[in-house]
Amino acid sequence: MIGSREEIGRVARGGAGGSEPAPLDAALVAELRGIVGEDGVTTDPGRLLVYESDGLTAYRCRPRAVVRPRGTAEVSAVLRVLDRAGVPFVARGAGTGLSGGALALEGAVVVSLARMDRILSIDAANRRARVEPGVVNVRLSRAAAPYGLTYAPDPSSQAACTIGGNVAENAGGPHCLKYGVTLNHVTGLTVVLPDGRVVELGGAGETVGYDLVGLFVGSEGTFGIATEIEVRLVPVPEAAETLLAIFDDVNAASRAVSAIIADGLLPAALEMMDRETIQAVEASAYAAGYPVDAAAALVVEFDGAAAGLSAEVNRAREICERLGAREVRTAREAAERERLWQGRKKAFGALGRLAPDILVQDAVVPRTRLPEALARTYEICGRYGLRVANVFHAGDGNLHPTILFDRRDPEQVERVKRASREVMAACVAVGGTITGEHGVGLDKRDYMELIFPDATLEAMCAVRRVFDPRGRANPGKVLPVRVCREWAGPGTVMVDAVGETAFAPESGEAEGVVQPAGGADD
Amino acid sequence: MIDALRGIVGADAVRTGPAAARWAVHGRVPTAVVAPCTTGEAAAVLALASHEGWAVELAGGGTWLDSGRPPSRLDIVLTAERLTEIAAYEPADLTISVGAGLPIEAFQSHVGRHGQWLALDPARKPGATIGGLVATGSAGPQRLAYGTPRDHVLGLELVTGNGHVLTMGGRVVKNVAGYDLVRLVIGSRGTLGLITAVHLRLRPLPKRDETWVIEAAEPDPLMDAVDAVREAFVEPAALELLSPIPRVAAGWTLLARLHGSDGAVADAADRLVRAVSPLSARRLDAAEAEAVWSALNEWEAAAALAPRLADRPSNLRDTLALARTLPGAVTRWPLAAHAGDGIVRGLVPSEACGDALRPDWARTLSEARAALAERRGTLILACGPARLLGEVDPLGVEGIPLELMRGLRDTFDPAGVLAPGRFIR
Ligand SMILES: Cc1cc2nc3c(=O)[nH]c(=O)nc-3n(C[C@H](O)[C@H](O)[C@H](O)COP(=O)(O)OP(=O)(O)OC[C@H]3O[C@@H](n4cnc5c(N)ncnc54)[C@H](O)[C@@H]3O)c2cc1C
Ligand SMILES: Cc1cc2nc3c(=O)[nH]c(=O)nc-3n(C[C@H](O)[C@H](O)[C@H](O)COP(=O)(O)OP(=O)(O)OC[C@H]3O[C@@H](n4cnc5c(N)ncnc54)[C@H](O)[C@@H]3O)c2cc1C
Repeated sequence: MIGSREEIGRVARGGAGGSEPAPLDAALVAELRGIVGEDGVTTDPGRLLVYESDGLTAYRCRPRAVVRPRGTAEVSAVLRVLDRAGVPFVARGAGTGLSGGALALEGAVVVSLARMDRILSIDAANRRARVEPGVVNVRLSRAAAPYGLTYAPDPSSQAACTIGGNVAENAGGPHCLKYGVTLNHVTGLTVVLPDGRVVELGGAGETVGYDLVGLFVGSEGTFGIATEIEVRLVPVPEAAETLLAIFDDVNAASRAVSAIIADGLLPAALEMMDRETIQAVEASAYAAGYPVDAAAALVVEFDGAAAGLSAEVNRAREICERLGAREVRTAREAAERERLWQGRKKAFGALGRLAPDILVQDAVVPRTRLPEALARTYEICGRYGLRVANVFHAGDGNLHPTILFDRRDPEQVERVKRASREVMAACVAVGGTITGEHGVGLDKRDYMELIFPDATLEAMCAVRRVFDPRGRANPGKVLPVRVCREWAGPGTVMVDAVGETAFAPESGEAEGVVQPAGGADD
Repeated sequence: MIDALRGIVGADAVRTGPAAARWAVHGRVPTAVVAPCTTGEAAAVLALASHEGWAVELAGGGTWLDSGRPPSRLDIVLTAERLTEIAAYEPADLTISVGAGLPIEAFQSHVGRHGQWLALDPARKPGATIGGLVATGSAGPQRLAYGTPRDHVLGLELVTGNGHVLTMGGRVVKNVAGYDLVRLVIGSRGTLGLITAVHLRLRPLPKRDETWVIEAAEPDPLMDAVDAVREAFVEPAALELLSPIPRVAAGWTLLARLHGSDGAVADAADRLVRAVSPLSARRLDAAEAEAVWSALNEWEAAAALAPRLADRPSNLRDTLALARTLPGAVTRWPLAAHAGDGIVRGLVPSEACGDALRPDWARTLSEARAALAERRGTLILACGPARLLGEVDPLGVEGIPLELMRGLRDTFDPAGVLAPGRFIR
């Protein structure tokens, strides 16, 4: 969801009542500089502008300061100092998130992991790597390549986004269909809790006690900051073959997706683009030679041992043809495969040129319900007079309806907001969910109630309080403010949080803008 | 207590006296065994138990209740065994929703009819349930290729210790809405709540499934073979290193299981044969393969004491050496290793278990655990005689964030009625 103009305006001003976020107390700034060095703290409003939003530019909120620690010990010291001062914080990787997750609400200070970008070790024998959170996703795969290994989760933003951000969002990507999402690849974490304590989660052996690694992945920066991350590496596939299938009917294309999955084939990737997307790509500098009159195109990739690959590709080709593909191209050589992928990879960039703003939505439906969900998306956006393009991880049923609009027109923004909510509701109605990989962040907090009963939401609040009893970590995200009140019988853990920050139901700031938390520097 | 419980679930769903004896936990027989037919009944039972302070052991088939420390208190066993409905199965989606009490075997044969399976092969006795599998987080030899329950569970329904019904995750294959409470519940051993329903991801059955055997007089050449298999990217579905085990392995043995299309398996077999040479690899026929894997499972299921030592796969030699320091290892009871995952387990049958109460067991276990802990490896006792588990913590909680874990447990079980003393203390 994106906000109405009033809401965006309020977020932009960084606090209810229209005041700029209060500058940090000078003594606190000095203390932070003492930890991270003179150049590790930014408070100059002009230089803070780049931190005012993430990849979802509809929300803006300038932080009070940015702190750039250089290691676990510094992160711990910084969080201790902030905790004592009563100042909340928000971790930030590359800021490519699409749910407003890295925005500094409630007077939060940004803790940027940009200077923690070392690959600490690559253990080829055990197929593991240990990295700092600021390592850019694609760099890890490059570093692993000499060992014949790769880091499988490959968000389309992989040239920019960080492993820390991937862990926080449980990021996916085209090849997650076969290889699994970030969760399936994280084996250990060093985490600094919001009060500065450092904990090791996971290790070399079996899980002892609860799976806190699994719980932390996808926690969107609200449980603490991951300062070291151990991940699984997988062998670079020996061979890969890519197939591009062109359809004249978008429903036929989505039926082909379902049929490929139902047939028991396991492609490495199965991506779909609709007409709007194809035309945008072909009109851009990234033209990939897709026919502009096509209604949809599928990119299907198989990988693994060279032996047996062709059989799978042929089977997929047959299915596509049977379901009405008018043309199927295949490629085995890297350069030629790259060309088939080109349009898919550059799609968001190409779409971005068609309108002042784009909103990349994210929802998941059962694969058998794709045709229906896609049709509903077009119908809903059409009814609101909005242009929508779809380019998405079809094999997982993970839709990305991308709405073109102009943020300066409040009336349009309102329509985008309403259409988004209807699209979400339609996906939920067929058994789906409100986000498959971009996270809830600020944007989707209020959709959580579409899929979870209050009891579950309240349990999530209680779990958050176990990690962050004083509400310091990334306040105002993930959970609707309304439900974050005590749930019956959780014991004492949660009570002391009430009245502190966003967790307090009475704060009345249901739209994500809460006064800077009370604290020494206010 | 019994009247109150019967009032909730009906008279026939509450067993007492001799009928409850099968559900004993480390020899302690519960006052009542309660088998609700609905989530609502389960919620009412747990709300009441929390209110009254009755200690509850949660269960599925009750086949593995001697895992974990003996309970400090025990009043009721609450089992999901009657929650066996297959609520939603859409083969074309490769997803399914089932009641937690559905036995694993019934589940696999149901989806098998559609050419699909839940890609997990945990050690199990007949009657072990899907809920039990999720609650223990267990996975067998094929974890090498397919991972553990954390990689397969899409969502679930949980009734917390105080009777709240929570739905977690979803039914679709990708989902990041809110915190991943599902991962918290997997492996939680009945300490957070009763799992009543589970949504799972399925896989197509492999088109081809071959098992190859490599034998040697000593384990060392087999461990070299394990390294070679990894370096040659054979990528087996399972790679088990076994000491001699009656009906399973005549001598030291490496079992490699290959899954995939015809072409891929032929290619992998070829690589395997080359990688392990000069040792020779022999392919088992389908019946032999089936017999070997099920005999291995029977050994696991029959273990009365099951130490598990785990470290990085590249340290397998050291881990195996540590396992061999346990009294009677290899000579009186066998070892089996998930070689590709670095996990060595001891399978001590009850005949050999009597001597587990000798002091040298507690000592060697503690020493091996300390050695592993230095490398952040682990030694856990998957099950064992109550007296030994009283002396040696089955988990070994050194270095884990206990405070967080206790906080999480208290959140779901504020009255402290679930499996008291059994898991995280
Ligand atoms: C063009 C484009 C394509 C995209 N394609 C995909 C895609 O295919 N799949 C996909 O999943 N996503 C995709 N995304 C979304 C985005 O790239 C991912 O969510 C990514 O994981 C964010 O990483 P980041 O480093 O930019 O994190 P940020 O945006 O900086 O932060 C995201 C969240 O993570 C938290 N965080 C960051 N670092 C840490 C840390 N070390 N510890 C704790 N919390 C932390 C932040 O507080 C915030 O809540 C795309 C985005 C764009 C712009
Ligand atoms: C490391 C490990 C090693 C194992 N080794 C063996 C082995 O060698 N032999 C063997 O037979 N089994 C073994 N198992 C267990 C086995 O794999 C199955 O998980 C188990 O048999 C499940 O069976 P059940 O339904 O009878 O569960 P039960 O025996 O009824 O319960 C087992 C545990 O799971 C909890 N539980 C069960 N169902 C639920 C539910 N619905 N909700 C909440 N909690 C529940 C119980 O509280 C208990 O802690 C092992 C498990 C683990 C984790």
